[in-house]
Amino acid sequence: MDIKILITWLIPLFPLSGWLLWGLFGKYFKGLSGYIASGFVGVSFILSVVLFFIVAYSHGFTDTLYPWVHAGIFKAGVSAVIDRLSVVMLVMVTGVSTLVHIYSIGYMEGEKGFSRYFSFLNLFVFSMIMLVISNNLLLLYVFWEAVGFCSYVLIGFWYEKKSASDAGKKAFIVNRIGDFGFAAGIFLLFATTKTLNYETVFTFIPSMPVYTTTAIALLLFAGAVGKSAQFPLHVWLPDAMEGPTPVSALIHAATMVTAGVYMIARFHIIFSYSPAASEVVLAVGTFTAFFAAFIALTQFDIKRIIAYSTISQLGYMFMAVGIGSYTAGIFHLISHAVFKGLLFLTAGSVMHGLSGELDLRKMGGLYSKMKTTAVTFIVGGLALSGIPPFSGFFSKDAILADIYNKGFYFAWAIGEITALMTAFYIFRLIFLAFFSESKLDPAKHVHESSKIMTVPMIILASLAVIIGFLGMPPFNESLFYGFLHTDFKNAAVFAPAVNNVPWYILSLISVLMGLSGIYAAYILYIKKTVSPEKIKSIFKPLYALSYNKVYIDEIYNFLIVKPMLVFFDFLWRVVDIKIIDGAVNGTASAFSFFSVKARKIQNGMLMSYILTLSIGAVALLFYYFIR
Amino acid sequence: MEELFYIFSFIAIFSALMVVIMRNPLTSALYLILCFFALAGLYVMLDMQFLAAMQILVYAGAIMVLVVLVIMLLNISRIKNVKSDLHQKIIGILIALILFIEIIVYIYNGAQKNPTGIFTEALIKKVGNTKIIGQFLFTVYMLPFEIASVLLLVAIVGAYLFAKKKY
Amino acid sequence: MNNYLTVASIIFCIGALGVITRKNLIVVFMSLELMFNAANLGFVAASNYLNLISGDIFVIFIIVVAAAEAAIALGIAIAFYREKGTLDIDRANELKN
Repeated sequence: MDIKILITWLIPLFPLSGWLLWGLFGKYFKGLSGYIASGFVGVSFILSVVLFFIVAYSHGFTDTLYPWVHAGIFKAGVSAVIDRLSVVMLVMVTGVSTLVHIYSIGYMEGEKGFSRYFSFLNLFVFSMIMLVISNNLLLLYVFWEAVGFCSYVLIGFWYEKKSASDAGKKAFIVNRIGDFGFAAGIFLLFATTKTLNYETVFTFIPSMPVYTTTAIALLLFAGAVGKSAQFPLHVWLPDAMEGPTPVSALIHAATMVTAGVYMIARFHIIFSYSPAASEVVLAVGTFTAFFAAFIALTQFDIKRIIAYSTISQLGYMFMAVGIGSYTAGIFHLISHAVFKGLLFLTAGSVMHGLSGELDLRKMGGLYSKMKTTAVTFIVGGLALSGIPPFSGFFSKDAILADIYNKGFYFAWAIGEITALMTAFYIFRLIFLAFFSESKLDPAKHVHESSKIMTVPMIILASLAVIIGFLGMPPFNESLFYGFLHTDFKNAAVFAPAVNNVPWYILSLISVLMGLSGIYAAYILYIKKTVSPEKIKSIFKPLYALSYNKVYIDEIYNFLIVKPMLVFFDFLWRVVDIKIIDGAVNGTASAFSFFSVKARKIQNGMLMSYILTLSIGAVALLFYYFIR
Repeated sequence: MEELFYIFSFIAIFSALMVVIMRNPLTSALYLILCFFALAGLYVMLDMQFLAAMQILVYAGAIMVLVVLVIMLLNISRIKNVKSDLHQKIIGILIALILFIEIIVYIYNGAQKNPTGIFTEALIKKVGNTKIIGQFLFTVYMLPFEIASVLLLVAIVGAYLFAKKKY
Repeated sequence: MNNYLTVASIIFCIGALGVITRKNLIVVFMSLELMFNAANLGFVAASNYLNLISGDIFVIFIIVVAAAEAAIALGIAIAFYREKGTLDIDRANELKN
């Protein structure tokens, strides 16, 4: 076997064996399982880097491990596509996973389900790797569901807590709605092209009628909406914060939720040949970016703020892929994975230090008590706000510049406003948690987290500083763009550039937006020249709207959950109890009625048995006679 | 030969009837032995002397002796037969009659089959029926034969178990 | 051939009649033997008519089975008599309920 193919299949093998090992023999390893699991994922990371350089200096390839389903014209193998897109994703996934694994050793220390936690974390990494490298839609779908399952299991990790298990169920069910569309899209694609292999599918796309392509693209996008928590299926992600924080960092910030973006980038041919579908992607992304940032403005739960921020940033990525700037979308995906993973890990560190406290109103003045956490958090916040030279600046501005230059001015304006709001809410969080006067319970012992947790945070923070330079402007000549854009050369150009405004002008606007957001937060929460309460009373309806998350949960509850409950209650009371149970019980009681009658025949008299026997013989002969 | 057939048939049917009609089991048993002898005569007429011998030896000899022995042992010949159920007798006769009609209709209306085998009367007479049966029994029908011997063994054990005083 | 079969069927029906109507266990058993013999006669007659030998072999096996059955049935009769003090098969009603 070729060495690069061997490497390809070794990458998912390590997390898979980790899963089996901890799942089956976890109790024998005790605390060790965390270190070994991290080591396994670390090996995968090193192999991914090796593969990255192999692909970078040669070319991509595909390989089939074994034919998995082979029925008639339906063929689907366990096969991998290794091109520049997938190696970039692989390095990101395994890298962030390694850091999160190491962090988890400290975070989950002494937890009851320590081995269970690492087994599912490894399973997740395996599924995510397979999702990234799979070469046909069936395999993609399987691991698309598998990461959803891992997410469900890990959100509900503390299953004794009702809210946690409910959040897990919510995530699973909401994802199911999107996945229904995704599955339907795959069916439609198979019905039209008779194949599920990527390359073969893509050769059919250009000659396909536009409405078919649009239908397929929109159905696939429905899956992305569910998985990547876009409006209107975003409701699960904030609740998913019930899970352990490293899980939020890995699954709900860096990897799984970005699967939707990756999927669209992977199927860029389908989406680029359907301008209508791409516009839907853009519209949903834009709206979600604004909408989630708007909700994040007034929340007090630090993890929820970061969760809404994730939704908002995913909106940016969808904006990018919606206008055909796949490279920019993937770049933002990578840099977002780094700084949002960082933000979650630091939030987890804060939470760890305060023994589980999440409410902003009960924090403050933490800077002096946990310096490392605070500094790394601020780095993450700056990256999120898009302040140079942090990574968020390069990636977000690459998207916004592309949007402006391609002539989507409205989306661009929304994006800039969102950037302002983003800077505001993240610095509101930073100021309230780390700088303003302490509102902590004095009895509480606040401590900095252990080395094993801070080291991954520091690594991610330094990455958040340097990774942006891969996308050094001007954006269309950067290192990253040059590396990745060859993968997207077959995409149809449906949104050509109409302007050619230089990058520094657009970036200046973005940076100004970010800085004014930070300044607004500074005025409100540090200098207190304007009281937050005053702002609150001026914009009372808006505040209420934002604070209550635009009442989306309530609307869903009223529109969908309640009627469903009524309907299912009807099903239960009438259809199930009356009709189905009635039929079953009726059959049973009919039998018991007849058997009571039939029992009388068994009178125990030998003579009557003989009589019956002979009558039977006579009747049988008679039957043959008349036949 | 025809006359012989009718004589034997008459004896057989008559004694069979007597078996059923007679009140005393011992009388029935003796009529049954007579019936077996008559049937053995019919076997001889069908060129199956070996079977006729078997019939007399096993049935009339062994089985019927056993039956008579049991009757004697239990000493029930004097025990008055319990109330005879007229109702049941009528039904029994009716059923037997219908059964007989059905069988007769079958025998005379069934599809006639022509002789297919090779064991013609002449061959049997030439080779001897005992030899033919013996050849078949110990070659082709070896396995059933062995199973039958096991069956007999089982029957011996079973009979012992049943007749034991305490079980 | 038909004559033999007719005789056989007559004996068979008489046997059946005895089985149905008589109440003495031993007489019932003897009636069963009658039915066996009727069947035997039918076998032998048919085998003779069709120039086959298998019918005769069958009869031998029937005789074997009948012997075994006789041993068992009489054993049962003795046990039954010991239990009930009679051979009336109407008393054999333990199967009820």
